Amino acid sequence: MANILTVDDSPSIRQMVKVTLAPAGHNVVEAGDGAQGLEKAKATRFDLVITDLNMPVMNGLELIKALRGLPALLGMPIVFLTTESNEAVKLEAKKAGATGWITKPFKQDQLLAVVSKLVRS
Amino acid sequence: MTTLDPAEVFRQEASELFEALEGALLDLGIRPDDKELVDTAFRALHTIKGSGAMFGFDEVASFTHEFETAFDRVRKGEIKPDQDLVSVALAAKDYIRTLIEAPETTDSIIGDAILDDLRRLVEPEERQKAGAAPIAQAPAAAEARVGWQLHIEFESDILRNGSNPLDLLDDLGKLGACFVMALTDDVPFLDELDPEHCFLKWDVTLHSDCERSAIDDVFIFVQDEMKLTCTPLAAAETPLAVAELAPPLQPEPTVPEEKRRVRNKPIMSAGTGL
Repeated sequence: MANILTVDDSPSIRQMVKVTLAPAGHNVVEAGDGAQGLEKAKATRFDLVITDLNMPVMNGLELIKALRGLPALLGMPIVFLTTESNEAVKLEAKKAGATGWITKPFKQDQLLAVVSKLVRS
Repeated sequence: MTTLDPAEVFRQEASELFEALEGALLDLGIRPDDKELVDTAFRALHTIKGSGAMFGFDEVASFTHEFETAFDRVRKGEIKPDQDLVSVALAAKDYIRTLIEAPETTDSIIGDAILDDLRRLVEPEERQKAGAAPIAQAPAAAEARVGWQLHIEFESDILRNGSNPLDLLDDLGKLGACFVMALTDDVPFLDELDPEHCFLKWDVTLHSDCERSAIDDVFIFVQDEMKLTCTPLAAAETPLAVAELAPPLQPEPTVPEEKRRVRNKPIMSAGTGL
């Protein structure tokens, strides 16, 4: 149904995203850090990007800013994963251009709910 | 497509993270000012915590939360990692590792003792602040609720960041029957119109016994980029809601009548008279 990019340095989180969304019919592509994510987003049109914030090489905030700097990707929903309950972190990511967030730990149905909120068929 | 169990992937990943964490902690004992080491340790903790609870390692997550909180203060430079802190941190790391690899051999008494030591080192004067701040809740009205009158204005660049106001209005419709009116007063003429800006505002009458928090949940991702006023509908107001919502339009020389668009939502509950 939707083409979704998951950007996380944690293979288990990427796997979690994949095993949750693939059965719902989504095509999930993985990237291990922000820089890889940016390259993949430039090469393929995604309906949604789900990114961690705390990553090596290029962190999630840098990725969000870079994606929002690409005119072709304006309006593409970007969701960030955060374990922070800190509002300042959310605000910073939102200011950078994020559409929404998922607080870790999350259950599979929470992930599905956010995806269905932002990706409409 | 791979069908590996995420929990198994986590165990393998955690094993590598513990190596990184141990290396960083040992080096911190020698170079306590090396911010790179603090960041490495923090990232490992962060991932262990974030992933742990998702894959059923609840004790790992809650213990690591305390551990990470201590390290957050180190990361912010509020505390210098001395040898005592490094030793306790290494003990904590071993404890977390055992929780993942051989949980049956652990005892929470050990974990509690490690956390006590850790807290004593990082926040000696703040022990009494153990309770988390209560989360503010919207006051709930005691009387039976029949609905809400909403006025919705988004910041004009809401569309750029991937939010779709029409999807949000659809989500409101899932809470109950909605009468939605788009306010077009701010829509400029075509030659001045930036299609990436949102010029519309909305008035919505929502017939639902939902709490205010359910409405806030709909707008959770955009609450800082919008103005939302929510007024409870009194029972007597309900049949008149449409009339109140859509008063005769005043003459608007700049906006022709045909440009105004009323968006009627499907009525999902009976007896509203809409």
